[in-house]
Amino acid sequence: MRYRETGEVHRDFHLSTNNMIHFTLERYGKDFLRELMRRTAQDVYKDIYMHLKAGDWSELLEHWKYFHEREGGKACYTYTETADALVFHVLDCPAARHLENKGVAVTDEFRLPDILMNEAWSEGTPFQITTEVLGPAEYRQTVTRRKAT
Amino acid sequence: MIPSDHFVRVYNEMFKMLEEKGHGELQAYWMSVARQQEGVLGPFIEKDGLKGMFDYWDRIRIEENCDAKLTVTDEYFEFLMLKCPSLSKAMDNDAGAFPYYCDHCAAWVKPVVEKFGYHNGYDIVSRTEPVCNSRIYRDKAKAEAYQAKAKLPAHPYD
Repeated sequence: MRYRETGEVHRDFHLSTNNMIHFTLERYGKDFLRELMRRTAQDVYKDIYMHLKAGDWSELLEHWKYFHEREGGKACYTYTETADALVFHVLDCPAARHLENKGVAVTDEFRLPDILMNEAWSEGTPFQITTEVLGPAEYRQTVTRRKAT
Repeated sequence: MIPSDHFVRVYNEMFKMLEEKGHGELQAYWMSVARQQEGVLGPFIEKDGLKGMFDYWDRIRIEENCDAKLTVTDEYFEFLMLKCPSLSKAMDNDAGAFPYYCDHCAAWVKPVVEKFGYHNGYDIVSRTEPVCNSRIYRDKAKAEAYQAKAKLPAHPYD
């Protein structure tokens, strides 16, 4: 995994993410946020993206597991993996939980970066990655292989 | 979820995109960060002034895994960053660092402390080395004198 931080965690960065989302949507609209998340998914997380392009979701799965566990413990997610699909179900998102603990509303837009990053990770890869928002702190990400046409 | 650990790399991409739109757009974003941070740092300053700043940044030092030396005196609060985790991550990044990444720090700190009657002298030192020096004074002339001696003074809104 390209980035594997250890040590303490500064969870207030989730407040900064929330501010970034609202600033971009209010000032520039959704396409700006879409491009920001595309650059993040494909350029910052180049290693994950290159693995996906090669038909390998293992780096993405390791990334999701490591950072959800680091911030919310093993109980905050479950996942199932078969030959054709990976389903990563976040039961209690540490980011959303931190906002709530700080008295900040978790709006529908807060999940938008995940939706847009998963779209960007799907581009030009053999996979379709979808995001289902199931509640303020619950969502499910599903990676499936595209059917050959 | 964008991990807390990775926010600064997204922030770094945000800076690049805003600079492409025009430097004023980047400055407008820095001001929005300052407004957000006023709600986080502000209560510490209101409660304990310079000591409150020490308390706030000491928590940051721990949570962000900074190598830093913090000092508070009757005159100023000083932050000597010996290894900045934020610039280090922006540089350890497959997308590459925004050349003016360091400027965002003074860009949010200065407006917040000024709102509470303090003044920040900021020496970026280098935009490619993860070190910087900063002092916050009640006395504006002393902050300006501190910044006048800076190797690379921060002027984020000039």
